[in-house]
Amino acid sequence: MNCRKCREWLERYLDNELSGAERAALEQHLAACPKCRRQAEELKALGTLLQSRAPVEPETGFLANFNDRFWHEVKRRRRMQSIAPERGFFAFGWNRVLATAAAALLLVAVGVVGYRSLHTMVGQSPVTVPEETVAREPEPRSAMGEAPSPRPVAKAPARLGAEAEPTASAEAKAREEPAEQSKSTSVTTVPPVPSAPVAGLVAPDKAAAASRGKALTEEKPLVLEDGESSTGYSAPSSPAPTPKKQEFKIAEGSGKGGAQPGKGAGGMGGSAKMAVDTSVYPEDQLSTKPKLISIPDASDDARHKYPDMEVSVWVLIEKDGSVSRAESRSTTDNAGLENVATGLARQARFSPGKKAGVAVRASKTIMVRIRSLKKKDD
Amino acid sequence: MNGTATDLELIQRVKAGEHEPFDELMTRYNRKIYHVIYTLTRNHADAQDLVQETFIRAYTNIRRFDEQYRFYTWLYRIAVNLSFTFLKRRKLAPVSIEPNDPEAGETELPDNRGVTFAEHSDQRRNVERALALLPAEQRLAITLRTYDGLSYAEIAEVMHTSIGTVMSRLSRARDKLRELLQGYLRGEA
Repeated sequence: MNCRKCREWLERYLDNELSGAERAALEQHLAACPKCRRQAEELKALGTLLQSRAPVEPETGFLANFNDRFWHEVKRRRRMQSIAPERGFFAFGWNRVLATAAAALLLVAVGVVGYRSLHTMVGQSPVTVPEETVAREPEPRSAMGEAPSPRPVAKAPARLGAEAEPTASAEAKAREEPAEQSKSTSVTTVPPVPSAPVAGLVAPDKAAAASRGKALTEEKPLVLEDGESSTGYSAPSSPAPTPKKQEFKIAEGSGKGGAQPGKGAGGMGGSAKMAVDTSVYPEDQLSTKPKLISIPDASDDARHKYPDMEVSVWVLIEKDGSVSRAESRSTTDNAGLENVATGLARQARFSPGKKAGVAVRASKTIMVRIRSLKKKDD
Repeated sequence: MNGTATDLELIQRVKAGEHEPFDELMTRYNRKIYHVIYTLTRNHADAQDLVQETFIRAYTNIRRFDEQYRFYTWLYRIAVNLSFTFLKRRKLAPVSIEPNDPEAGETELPDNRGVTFAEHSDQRRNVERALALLPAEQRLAITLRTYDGLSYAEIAEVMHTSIGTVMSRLSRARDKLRELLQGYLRGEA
């Protein structure tokens, strides 16, 4: 065994993840190599340090009354028919089926009303159109969402082929592999964060979701205000051009019932907007996925401050391949780093995503990595 | 009475319609689940809500629990999924380290990424501060490994990823922590 192999195995050794033979070989090397032994001791000391962490103590009384509060909440939800583990009818998920059926009926009803309204519009003035048939203006959101995100001018030099798109099967792996290229910013695609709590679990019904108000997945598609994320966060921005409200749908998520081109939020009633496809498609719903063409280098200052750090960034790619929005999907606890990453992502250029050969707006999650200055010099 | 019953035995009784065994399961795991969720959210109020939601999801879906797996990894996975969904919604909100949180210490994180925390006196606080600087996925992986003692395979199951990805996250987390805590490590090594 050489030192390189030893370094590779060291963490697995300390985590008891090596086989007996591997363990013996590594111990033999450690006995003979003081340099590797020193590294092993340092790693071991780190493990000891971390294992000595005291458990995070919840606030006083939380655990003492936890079970009582749990059963109280279970009863409350059961009264709302949102939780019924022992009843086969609900355990099967019929509540979800019924909710879907109700939603379908509602859609049909809205469509009929809209259709009739269009007919009654002829010869009538002023026109009264049922509210549901008009493409909705985005609702005002939280105060944090007031500052619109500008659309930066993409000025990055094109680097065609510099960043090969990993295949779908290799995406998860590629996300974790250290990039070897010499660029200061590297990008890989990442799979979307699962939104469902656990595959196959019954989601709580809407009443329960509303009562909890937290930690539950959103209904999609969403109608958002330009410059505002679905969480109400507005990315830090430089002096903005005149903010222009724009309506679009996010068709990401389950892949079912994604936004349809040419259909506004109001179904048949949104005739004025039917000609413009403002839907946003996640890349897995596209026949041609958007591919990264270029992304600018991080500044030396950023490379000094955030060496080899990476951020998962969700980008909205316009039909011309420019990025109109970028939002961090990582929780690095470092707003500065995430601002740098999203700023770079906003200046990236992509080949447009296409659906049935037609360029559409697309969403994609990329991994932006800030390369250290040291590696540039190497 | 239930102290010696295995998780599986308790689950089978819950599936059969008893409620008490679930009390025992909650008592066994609520503290650990709290720790994992707090590791991700860094906020007590959020962690409390999510712990309760975790057990409600587990209880609601207990019939779907596949008994060939370990209950705690299933439970951890629910907790982790809920936490990431929550963090996704919270997204770029600044890190909220609570001022009265003894683990968190100072409310502001250092700008200088290369700071050696050994310059500070409180080791425990600085370990928590160093952990807070890691990306959530790395922080979770290192916590599940070093605090909860989960194997690579179990961590992969909880995080719904491959063992290779787990190893990569652990390696990166350790590299960063060694850099941040090098003063302590030199002292102990």
